[in-house]
Amino acid sequence: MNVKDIYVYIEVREQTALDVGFQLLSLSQTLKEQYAAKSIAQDVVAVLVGHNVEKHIKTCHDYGADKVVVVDHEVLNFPTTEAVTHALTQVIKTFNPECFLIGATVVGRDIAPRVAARVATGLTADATHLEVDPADDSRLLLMTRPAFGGNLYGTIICPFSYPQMSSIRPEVFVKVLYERPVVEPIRFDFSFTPKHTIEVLERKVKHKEGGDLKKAHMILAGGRSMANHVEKLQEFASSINATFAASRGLVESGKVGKDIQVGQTGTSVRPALYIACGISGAAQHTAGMENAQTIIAINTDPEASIFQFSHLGVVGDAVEVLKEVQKYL
Amino acid sequence: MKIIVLVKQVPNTTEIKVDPIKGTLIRDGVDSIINPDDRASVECALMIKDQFPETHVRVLTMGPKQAVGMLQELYGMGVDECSLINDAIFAGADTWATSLTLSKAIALYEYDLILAGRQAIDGDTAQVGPQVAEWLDLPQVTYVSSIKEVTDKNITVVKSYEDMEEVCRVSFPCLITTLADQIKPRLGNFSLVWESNQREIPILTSVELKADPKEVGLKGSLTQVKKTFVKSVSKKGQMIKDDIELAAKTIADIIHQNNHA
Ligand SMILES: Cc1cc2nc3c(=O)[nH]c(=O)nc-3n(C[C@H](O)[C@H](O)[C@H](O)COP(=O)(O)OP(=O)(O)OC[C@H]3O[C@@H](n4cnc5c(N)ncnc54)[C@H](O)[C@@H]3O)c2cc1C
Ligand SMILES: Cc1cc2nc3c(=O)[nH]c(=O)nc-3n(C[C@H](O)[C@H](O)[C@H](O)COP(=O)(O)OP(=O)(O)OC[C@H]3O[C@@H](n4cnc5c(N)ncnc54)[C@H](O)[C@@H]3O)c2cc1C
Repeated sequence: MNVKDIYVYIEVREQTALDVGFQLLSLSQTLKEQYAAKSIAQDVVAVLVGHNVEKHIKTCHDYGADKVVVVDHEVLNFPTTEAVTHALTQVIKTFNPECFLIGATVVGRDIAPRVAARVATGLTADATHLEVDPADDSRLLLMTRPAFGGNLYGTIICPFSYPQMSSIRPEVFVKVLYERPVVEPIRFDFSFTPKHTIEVLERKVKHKEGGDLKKAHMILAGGRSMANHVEKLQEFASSINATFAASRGLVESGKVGKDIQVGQTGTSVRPALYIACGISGAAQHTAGMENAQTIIAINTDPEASIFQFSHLGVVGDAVEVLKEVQKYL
Repeated sequence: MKIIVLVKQVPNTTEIKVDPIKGTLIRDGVDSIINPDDRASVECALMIKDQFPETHVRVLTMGPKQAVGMLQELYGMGVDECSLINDAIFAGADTWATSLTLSKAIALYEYDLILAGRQAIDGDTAQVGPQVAEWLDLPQVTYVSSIKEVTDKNITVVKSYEDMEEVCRVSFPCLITTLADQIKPRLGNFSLVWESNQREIPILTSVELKADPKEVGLKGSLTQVKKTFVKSVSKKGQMIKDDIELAAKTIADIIHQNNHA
């Protein structure tokens, strides 16, 4: 079978395109270069799925798409399992991509396994590092991902079936302004008869404490040991314009909500500065913050694992240290 | 109502440590536990059984023979029947082959509802639930944080998105994957555990599942683990001890730089 090109699913929820799609387009440009170095020509193709998605076509090109396939239909206005699985499966069967990347959002992780099973290919979950196999004659993608709560990394390959598919977490890669020329999109003819009846009764925004973690420029996070000092930490955070976040240890103490949890089962963040106060540094926590540009850790235990991730480690009582910092602000 | 719950026994990954010299996982002394999201699934099934006592709850697990101990614990929580899917040729499966094998086992029984955990804490892929649903051609709702209402025809659940909650109703038969966060599993009843010691746990092999050796286990997998490694555990940054003033000045300086960037 003749397979070609790197396809990326651009998830659109009620007309808002999620950033992770653009991050993956930029990543795909890097993969395209690696393929080109082996004299394998690939294009980066955005698969824009939703309703009234025209306005996102240029953004796809801006962040690295050479071509855009548009699947536009009113049933796709919000991405549901059955409709998006059908759309992506049809696109794959029509174009035979070599690689297919999907953002590991709640939606992406819901549909990617079904799409992979339906087109009978392997799927790598939550890859954090992708590269084209340097070995001669190989077209394989080496997809590296954390398992065992981030304690073990595995490099996964998909040698017998196409496309080579991976889901990739948001914020692991950055979007880069490639500004590829805008070309006429390929409009995909989408016909679909729903079979599974899932009736949506209500959608409501979750209650949010402390602003949007993902967009935060600076984050100050507290751990279990800070349960009795939450207010002090929050005050300090707002005095330096940082957003307050928590480890699961602190969430479990009941003093703060789950929505501000950073980590594998919370939010993944990549702020410019992350200050971890009284957080031990379990793999499930660091999986969500290790990409911060600068990490400061304050912990009474000189052996705490968080110090393996910090650019600056301070051994001491977090409350005392922050009180001292206040004097110099 | 007939419910099948998919449960995986996993090593307690929060206890796993890395051997910094050999660069491998230290698994000795790490206990095996019921995957946390799957305990939530079992609890959901038992809550439905509390409401509709005629409900039958069956647990299926694929894994080594030692998983029998976990099944006894589940009897203690109140499930009706457990089977262990075990055969040397099932080993080394990726999620494609795992979900196919589980689907073949499920197909041996009647069901209205299949419950699975969102994610297993060892493999961490969250792919098995949706792929089982695909093999069985069932509607699915993943990331379910709680169940709102159950009737004999359908189930209403709360699905959790990153920034939003959705209440949706899905007709039986269907598959649901659950999150451990808001569902507190009940404790086991000791006398039920004890009684279950006497119970034979049926083992389903490739014979019962009529599984072709080419389509299951490592052989039937479409992905391969090319290599595994642990992250290097070297200290990365600057450390300050016993000098709180220096520490405070340095932190304040970093904050200033970031506030003016
Ligand atoms: C499936 C699964 C998913 C998980 N997902 C997440 C997740 O998304 N996010 C997450 O964070 N965790 C997650 N966890 C939990 C994780 O394994 C850890 O248990 C958790 O991160 C520990 O939180 P902690 O560091 O606050 O608490 P602890 O591990 O209890 O650490 C407290 C730390 O505070 C230090 N300390 C004590 N007093 C002071 C003081 N006065 N000043 C400074 N330091 C002090 C101690 O030395 C210690 O290092 C998950 C676990 C599982 C099994
Ligand atoms: C380092 C490493 C990386 C891997 N990466 C990949 C990968 O990227 N892609 C891939 O396809 N495979 C991968 N695998 C293989 C994968 O771990 C196995 O296929 C495993 O059997 C199922 O995946 P999981 O543990 O991620 O389960 P999940 O998909 O996370 O499990 C979800 C739910 O499915 C049910 N379930 C899962 N397994 C069983 C079982 N044995 N019995 C009963 N119920 C079960 C449970 O309800 C569970 O909560 C990897 C394995 C390793 C060691």
